[in-house]
Amino acid sequence: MNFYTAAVLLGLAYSAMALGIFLSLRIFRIPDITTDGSFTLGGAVTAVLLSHFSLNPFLALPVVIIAGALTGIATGVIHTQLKIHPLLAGIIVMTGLYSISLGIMGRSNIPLISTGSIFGAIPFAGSLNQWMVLSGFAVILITLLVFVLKTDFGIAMRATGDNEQMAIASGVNAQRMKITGLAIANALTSISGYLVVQYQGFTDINMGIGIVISGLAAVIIGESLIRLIKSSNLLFHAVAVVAGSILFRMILAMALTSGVNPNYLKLITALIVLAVVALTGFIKEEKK
Amino acid sequence: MIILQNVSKSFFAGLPSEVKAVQNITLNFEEGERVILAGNNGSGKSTLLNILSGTVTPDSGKIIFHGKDITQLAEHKRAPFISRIFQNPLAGTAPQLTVAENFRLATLRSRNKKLSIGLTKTFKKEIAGIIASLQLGIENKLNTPIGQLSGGQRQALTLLMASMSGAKIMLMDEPAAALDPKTGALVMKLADRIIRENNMTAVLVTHNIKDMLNYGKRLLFMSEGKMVKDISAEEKQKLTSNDILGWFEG
Repeated sequence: MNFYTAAVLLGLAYSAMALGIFLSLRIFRIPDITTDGSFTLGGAVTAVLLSHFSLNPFLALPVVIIAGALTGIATGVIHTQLKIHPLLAGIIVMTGLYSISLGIMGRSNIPLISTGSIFGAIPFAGSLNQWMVLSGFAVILITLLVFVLKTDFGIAMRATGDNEQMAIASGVNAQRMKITGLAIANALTSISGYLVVQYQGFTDINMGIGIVISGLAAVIIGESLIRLIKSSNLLFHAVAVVAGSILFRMILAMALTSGVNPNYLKLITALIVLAVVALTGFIKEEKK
Repeated sequence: MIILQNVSKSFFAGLPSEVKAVQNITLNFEEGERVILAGNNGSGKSTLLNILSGTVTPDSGKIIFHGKDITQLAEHKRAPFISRIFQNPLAGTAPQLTVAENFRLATLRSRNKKLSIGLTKTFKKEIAGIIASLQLGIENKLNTPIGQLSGGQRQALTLLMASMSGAKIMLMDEPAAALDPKTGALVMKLADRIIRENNMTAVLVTHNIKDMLNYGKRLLFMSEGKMVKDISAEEKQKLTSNDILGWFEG
């Protein structure tokens, strides 16, 4: 398969996580790095359910979602109830999750070659299945997320991140709202774990390390796209985040095909994010 | 309607820098009563408002609302009956949300925030009519993020949102102080109209002596955490600005 085609598919697989980061970072303004842990957990749960229990991959999905949501709840409770900075709360949960994922897997790597996968669900040939399934997931998740954000509950959610004092004064339980938001964000991240391991054919305990930066990159690239059309439309924002996820994978693929040593992948990733951040004035806007 | 019983609050208790922000204050606010709360900076006015709204929990004493002890009731649970207007005209609205979304949240103040779309065309039409009464032309900007409007417009909208929420108590902490004189006067007039129309119990913290004389009935004056003056409506009418200025100079 073409290198760039693979990059687009991978970008689609990571787009659930990107939407999760969009929710925590942009809607709630919480820098949540539970991501690294909830992504691996999603992969670990998927691997065990598919290989040890030979479960139908679609039945594994709700389990993955619940597992991911629980990690977000953990971070949310630590942050809101113990008044610990969200960044630290995320680090604590992420660190603990490494052992939990390893415990679930029983070993550090599980191959998923001979097991069932969602890509075998529709009887089409080869990569067409991957296109259909991964873009189907992206469309469904964008639709669901945008719908939730437009409901009364979603308005209260966005107000909590935008002006917490005002949200509380309007009768919103801001603490519970943050916990719910982090739960949804990490459930989305674990869905990416679920998709990525089935796409790549294995789960590795280290696959989540530093993965949060891909989500950040997707959100930031997506925002620079949105700046071009100057819209506050939520649907456009969500679509731009998914486009950002795909573009980021394309940029990485470009770097790798140009002959860069794959050992430098993380360094390249960091430099790409730095470049995008510097170019779009992301930091300035954060200071406000 | 809402009663404070022997309420006290200290900050940095036990330290040399201890501040006795509110000391043993007992007050009774009647339904529909419009009260001015004055005093020097640091006299405890804002702390008293924060105790009423639930932002600050008193060290001792009770808060009774309609016969119920609400001393420990969380701020977001008091929201259905208490609304607040802050000095910062930007504080009462969520800047990235549109005008319509801010209003939607205001109407949900005492209701569950359900997982269904409440911001319908009918709702927008309804609020467009209400916003048009401000005559600021904002009714055409319902889908604009409210952060793009001016401070005065946002404060006026905050007041309007407070009136739609069904809250019976309005706490205002210098709502016009950060605005230019003309806009400030407009906001004060609007606040007065909304409070009268909805028969709200209102507490206004202000440093503006003209406003103290023009608005409200009862006048309270705080100094170093204590309530030193409680002037009735009749007495207040006899006051001159020089009388009040004298209190500030102690």
